[in-house]
Amino acid sequence: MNFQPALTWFSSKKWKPQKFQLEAWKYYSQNFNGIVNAPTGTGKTFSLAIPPLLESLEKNELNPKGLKVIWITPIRALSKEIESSFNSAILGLGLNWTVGVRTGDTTSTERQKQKKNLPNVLITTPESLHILLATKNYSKNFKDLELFVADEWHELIGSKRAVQVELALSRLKSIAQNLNVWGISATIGNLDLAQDILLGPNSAKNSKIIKAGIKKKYEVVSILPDEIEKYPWAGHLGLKLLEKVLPIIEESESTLIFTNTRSQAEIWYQKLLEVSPELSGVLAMHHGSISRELRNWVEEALHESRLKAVVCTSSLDLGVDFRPVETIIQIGSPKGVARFMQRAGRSGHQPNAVSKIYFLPTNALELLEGAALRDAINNEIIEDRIPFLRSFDVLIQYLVTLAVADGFDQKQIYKEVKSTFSFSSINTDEWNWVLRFLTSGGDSLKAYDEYNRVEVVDGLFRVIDRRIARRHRLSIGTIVSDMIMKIKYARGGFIGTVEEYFISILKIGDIFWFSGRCLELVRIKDQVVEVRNAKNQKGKIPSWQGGRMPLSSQLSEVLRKKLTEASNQSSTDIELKTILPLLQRQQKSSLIPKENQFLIEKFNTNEGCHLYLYPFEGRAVHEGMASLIAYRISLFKPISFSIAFNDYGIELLSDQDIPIEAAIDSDIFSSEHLRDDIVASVNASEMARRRFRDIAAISGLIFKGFPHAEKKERHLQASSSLLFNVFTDFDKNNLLYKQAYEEVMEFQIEEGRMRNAFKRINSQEIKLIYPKNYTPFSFPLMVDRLREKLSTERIEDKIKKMKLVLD
Amino acid sequence: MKDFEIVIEGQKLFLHPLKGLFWEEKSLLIIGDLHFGKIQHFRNSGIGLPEIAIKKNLENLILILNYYEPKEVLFLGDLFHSRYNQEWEAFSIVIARFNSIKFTLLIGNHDTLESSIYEKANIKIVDDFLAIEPFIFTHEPQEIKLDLFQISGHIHPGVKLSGKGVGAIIIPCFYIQKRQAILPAFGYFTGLYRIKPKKGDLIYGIVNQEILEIKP
Repeated sequence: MNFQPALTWFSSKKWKPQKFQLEAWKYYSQNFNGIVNAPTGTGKTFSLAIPPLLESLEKNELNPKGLKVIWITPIRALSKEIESSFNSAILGLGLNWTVGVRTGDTTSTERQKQKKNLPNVLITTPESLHILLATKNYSKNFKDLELFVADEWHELIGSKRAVQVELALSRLKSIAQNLNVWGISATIGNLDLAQDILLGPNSAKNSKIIKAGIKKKYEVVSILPDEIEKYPWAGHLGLKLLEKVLPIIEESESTLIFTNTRSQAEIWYQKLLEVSPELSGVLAMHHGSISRELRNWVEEALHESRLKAVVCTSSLDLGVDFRPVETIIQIGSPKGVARFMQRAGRSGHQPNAVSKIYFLPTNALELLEGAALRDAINNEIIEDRIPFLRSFDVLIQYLVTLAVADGFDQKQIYKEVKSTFSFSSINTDEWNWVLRFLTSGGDSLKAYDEYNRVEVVDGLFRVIDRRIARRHRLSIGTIVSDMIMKIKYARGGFIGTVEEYFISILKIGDIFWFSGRCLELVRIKDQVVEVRNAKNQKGKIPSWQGGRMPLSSQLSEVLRKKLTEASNQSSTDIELKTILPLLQRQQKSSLIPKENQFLIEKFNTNEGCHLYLYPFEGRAVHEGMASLIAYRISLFKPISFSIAFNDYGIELLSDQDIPIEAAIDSDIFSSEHLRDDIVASVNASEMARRRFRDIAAISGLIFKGFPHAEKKERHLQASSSLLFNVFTDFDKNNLLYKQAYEEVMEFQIEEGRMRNAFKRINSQEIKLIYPKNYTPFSFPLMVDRLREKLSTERIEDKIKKMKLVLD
Repeated sequence: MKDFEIVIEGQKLFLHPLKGLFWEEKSLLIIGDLHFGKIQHFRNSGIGLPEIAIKKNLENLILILNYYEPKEVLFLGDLFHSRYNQEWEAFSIVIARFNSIKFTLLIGNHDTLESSIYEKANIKIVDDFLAIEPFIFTHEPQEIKLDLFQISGHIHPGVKLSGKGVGAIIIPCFYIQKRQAILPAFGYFTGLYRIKPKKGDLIYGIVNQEILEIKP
């Protein structure tokens, strides 16, 4: 392929093609598939947008017909930027290609236009791609497809949207004979796997991972308390250091302040305005519950340097770059290296600029994580992305999609589905179950049934019922499905959305803070929360679930290394030096564990017998481990515990002496029989019930209704919890039901990680210490216990001892 | 399964864990919110619930009819969930076997079948309310002018229990206030609405097939 036209266009723009771009063009021209590993803002779009254009130039097809390129982006906000990159390249190369965007925001007239005549380049999301697959005669639209790009692929992996991409690709590969598939990914720990997930297992042949090798420079600066002795040992807000943030905001053109939860963002936003009223008008807030319009306004204002600072959550992790942003502040540990780097990368866009990020610890011990984060970044220790495997909910949605369109031949589709990474292990029994589920609703008694979601007509699986087809088209895209409610002013005006959970704890007339406003709850109608501005300014802050991420496995490991350094006093990190008094106190009253040691503390207070264990594996793993260890101890003698955990350790509290000494002697940290013991100890059914909510929505078991739904449609609404009960009582072999448990094991209890943790503990020297009282390590756990509790006793067994909760 | 005796307005009433209320003096069994047909309604719309779950409702109905052998049964509304479907056939076969019992239905908001269908199954239908002193039966709890104790259904009451360190659970319950009682929904696959009891209310929760007296 002749690169010259592109090189000429580049030089006319005074650009120089980068090595990775040239490499990508070369491999593309040799018909390779693969991954381009490059950070945002390095011209990654041109590495893959140019070659199909050059090819068309070579063939002298200046004005080709039909869809040539599908460009998947997980974030709608990025589609505009990609579109303009394409348009400038098309213009620069003297071509007449058309470029179109199709996302949830695309108007229906535009969609109708696209339906008749698809553009040459379609920029879209995984959900919108599936909607295209749900149209009649879809295959003719895709037969000339040459290139499929999954942009920000690292973001998609780790969500079910990646499974959507895999399934759509399996179809497209059969339709388009000359299709090349590429991903664009930031650096992650398991890039090779990322390629397999996109291209399918055994894809090594004719594939290539192209690394940009552009190393961004990061500088991590921890904000240190003046007197560490007075800085709290526990806490999650960090407001004591707020004064130290003000000069940082002052000195910088524009600052992003990242918090880990939306409630934390609300609190910081308010407190900043309280302490520094002159920020009013130039300080804004951005999080996932705030209305799209307001978020757009904030983003635009950031672009145009009209804002001094924005308090935000992961909602600003991704998206287009804001040039004026010079400084990033992270409040509290981000709990993962990749997330921290991503946020740091939102500043310093000039070439070779250093991305500077301030880390503000919310409690004294968290300073350790500041040191660990810097260490991890310097040594390029970055998290893996864990893919979803065997997501039968997505498979069922996909198959109905095909059935709605033209119907499918199950033999052909089985072959295609089995070629994906996610479903490479599916067997014919499971496949037949899925088909049966579609056609007869699972194991049918056949007595008097009218079940007819999918019917077999002339050997093809098809949806005939038009109502079912309509409902299905509307529900594609419900991959994310928190129960959310709209917040509106009673006199009109949309403010944002909030999880139903929060509203359920409010009463009419209650005051709460939302989106920086103090609001009074007027009434709840359908799915809308009506409010008015409150006169009184004292209100609750909504507590949003899901914001608090557990410590990643990679960061845990570096953290343990930092502890060893602290124990050996071999560290030069300023953070470790700062908390030296605290660490000395830990060492004196107990111990700072080295990498080959496992610390257990045991002591009595008037509350009872306390046992503290410190695996440093993150709260998610600790939750499961705590229940499991409690269960194993209870095998020695009947004993009941209350359980608490944080990212560093576990607390077991009992009114009796905890026989840990005997338990250690008989291997309570063994990794054998782990699955059985998890099932016996962890209340997995409650976790699975929560997981099932998404599964039920995606697979079409729950229908949320749509605008102007008829009354009979409303009779179809049921909570996922009710459905979960039905399967628990009658159909435990339902693959969707089983999937809920699999997801709990994989993503919540993190069985694999727990197993490794037990193996590690088993190889460590166990240090059982009897301190006189709370230590710096145990204190935060004691405080956390007051917030969240678990017990080893099942709720049904305890019910008679309970007292009725009254509001 | 054991029932639980209470006295209201001087009348002996029995609360059953299968979620029925038996008035001994009149040999009247009162059942609220059966929502039969719901699972089939879902299935007919392409939502794959296990069909075997349908049997659960009918089994429970047979069990409680055999337990009390009442002379009369009063359904407090929402007997059938939606449009006519095959579950009605199965239901009418069951009640035909109990042909010595007089069945009455107070029409609820879900009961949209044509009256001829009820007639064919020998179910007498009543709109609005039914008064048998000292009680008045309604589907939805409502203001009434008569000085009678009101017994109704409709809201599917559930009560939230929690205990130190064990988390929380919502269980179905009979909810009895000064001048009214609300029955739990009889039907399987019906949701719960969490009530917020006040002092002086009586709550009888149902857990592990047992009636549990709860004092607010």
